[in-house]
Amino acid sequence: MIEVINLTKVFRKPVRQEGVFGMFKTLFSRKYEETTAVNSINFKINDGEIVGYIGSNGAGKSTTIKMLCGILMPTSGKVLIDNEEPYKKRKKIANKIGVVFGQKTQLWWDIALIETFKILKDIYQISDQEYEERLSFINEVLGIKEFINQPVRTLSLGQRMRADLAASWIHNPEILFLDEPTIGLDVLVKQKIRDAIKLMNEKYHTTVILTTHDMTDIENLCSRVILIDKGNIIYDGPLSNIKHKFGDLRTVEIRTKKDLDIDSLDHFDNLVTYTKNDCSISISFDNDKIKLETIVDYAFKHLEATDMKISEISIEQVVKSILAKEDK
Amino acid sequence: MASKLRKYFPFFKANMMSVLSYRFNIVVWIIVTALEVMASLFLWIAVYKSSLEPVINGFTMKEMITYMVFANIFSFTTFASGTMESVTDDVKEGTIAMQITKPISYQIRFMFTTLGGLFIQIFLFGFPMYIIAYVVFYCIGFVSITSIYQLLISIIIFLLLIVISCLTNEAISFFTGVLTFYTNAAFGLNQMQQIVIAFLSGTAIPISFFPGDIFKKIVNFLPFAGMVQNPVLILLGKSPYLLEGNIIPSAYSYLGDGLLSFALDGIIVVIIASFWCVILSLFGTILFNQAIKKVTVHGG
Repeated sequence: MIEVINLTKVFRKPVRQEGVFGMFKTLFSRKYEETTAVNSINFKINDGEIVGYIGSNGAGKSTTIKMLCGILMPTSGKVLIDNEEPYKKRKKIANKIGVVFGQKTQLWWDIALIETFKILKDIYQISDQEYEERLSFINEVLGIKEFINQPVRTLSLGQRMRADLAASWIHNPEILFLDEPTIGLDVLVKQKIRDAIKLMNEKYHTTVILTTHDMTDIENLCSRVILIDKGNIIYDGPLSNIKHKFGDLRTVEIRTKKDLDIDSLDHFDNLVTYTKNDCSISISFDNDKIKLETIVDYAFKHLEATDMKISEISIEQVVKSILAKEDK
Repeated sequence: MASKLRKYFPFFKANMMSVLSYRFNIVVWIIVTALEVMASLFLWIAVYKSSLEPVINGFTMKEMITYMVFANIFSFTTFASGTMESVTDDVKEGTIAMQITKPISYQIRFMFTTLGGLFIQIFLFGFPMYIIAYVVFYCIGFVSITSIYQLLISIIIFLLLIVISCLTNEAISFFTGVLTFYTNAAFGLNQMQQIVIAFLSGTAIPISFFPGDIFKKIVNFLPFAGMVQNPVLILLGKSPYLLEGNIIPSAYSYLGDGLLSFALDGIIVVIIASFWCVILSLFGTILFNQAIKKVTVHGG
């Protein structure tokens, strides 16, 4: 079980000044600026959960993950993984966790992929039988056998990400930390990775904490979502509720005949947000605050709508509007 | 204990294979070093020829030539840089994050990696060179063996010192690498490290040639003397503590000439070298543990 208690991380950076003289001044100055990346957050994650940890860039996601892995020391507060603090007992925790950092690889670059697995087998002291069993599971869900004998530097991004996920899991850790595991991947590979994660969780009860910007990842995998913004947790709960917590949000997509002056939508007084494309307008609104009929009626009467699509708001929109609200 | 160390074996093997595949590079390195040594030998011969005394600072010309050759071979078989660069790269690239989430000691992993490479350097290149050089020098009378026992003691102590010197070099390399956590400047540190060690270990010139009594004593106190000069002298049957500027009183002054004195001096060399090896390794461990606490892994 993972417990995060009043976890805070403040980064102290020397104030760097511009230009050549500035460079010298920085060497001797004692001025620091402090950024609070993570601000006294609290949450508990139980075994077997798949949790999505989302937020905009710079919200504090990766900083939290690094503290959970034991790579970064908190400024105050603590992280407990099975009652141990990971940054204090790193080697002990290392056997329980697996990590994928989307932009960095843990694979040995110049040698064949299989060698990395052999090295990991020795490092984590995995028995021959478990090793074979897990390798075949990995091959089943991620299909790495086709490139397992190639040097890692020759792999495509999709292959490398699959391999990184496999390598992070080969020792069957209790917890998998995945920091942007699907970044830059095509639709098919993303699906493969999601399926793999789901199967690992189902078959081996792996707890998964996943940071991602792709909301489809979240919808596919996570039963629970933690939303962090500017170092603070602004939502922690079931995925289904997030849509309702912030209102009954809907989107109406209207196809119009021609370029219209839609400043008239401002008529609705900030109850709607809209984006305009060439021949269509997308209007988002809170059904609790302004009724669907009003929007639809307006669309046909004043916007010359020829076609219309009404949908429940996507997670993406929810997060966008939550974050936009926070900004105000 | 053996099973605990088993998990580091892949690193040993991986680097061994890697160095083996670069054996041509090693041959070139040896040739270049040989040329450098030859140049310095010509210089020494000129120095001795123009000197009135046949013995300069404790070395005859024959002894000096022998010493130079062996000191350079020894330096080659115990110094394999690589750890410092690897640590620096890890810090720069941020891949250090991936390494420290593994259940292995970062320092010990590099130790095994270095030893893997040195394995090739020592067994494939070093030992043949030692044997050939020793036989050649013995035949031309540059090296004298007082007795078979002296040769045995010399060789045993020498072999011990090879191991200790390798580990000490590795400890310094690791320490320097960890320093980059703080200084963010790797360029220059590598050069400095190599040059400092080469100079202060007696590879360029024996320490008894350093100017000033106090300076000699300081340099003899440092760990570097035991990393090249002392092992080589022991192999050649000379006790380093008979040379000027030493801070350890030689057993010779208590027990007179003889095998026992030589053996005792040799053992003291081993003890002091081991002491430094352990201390420097601990420095590295402590510095690393501190550095980790401060580390800010970039990017997210």
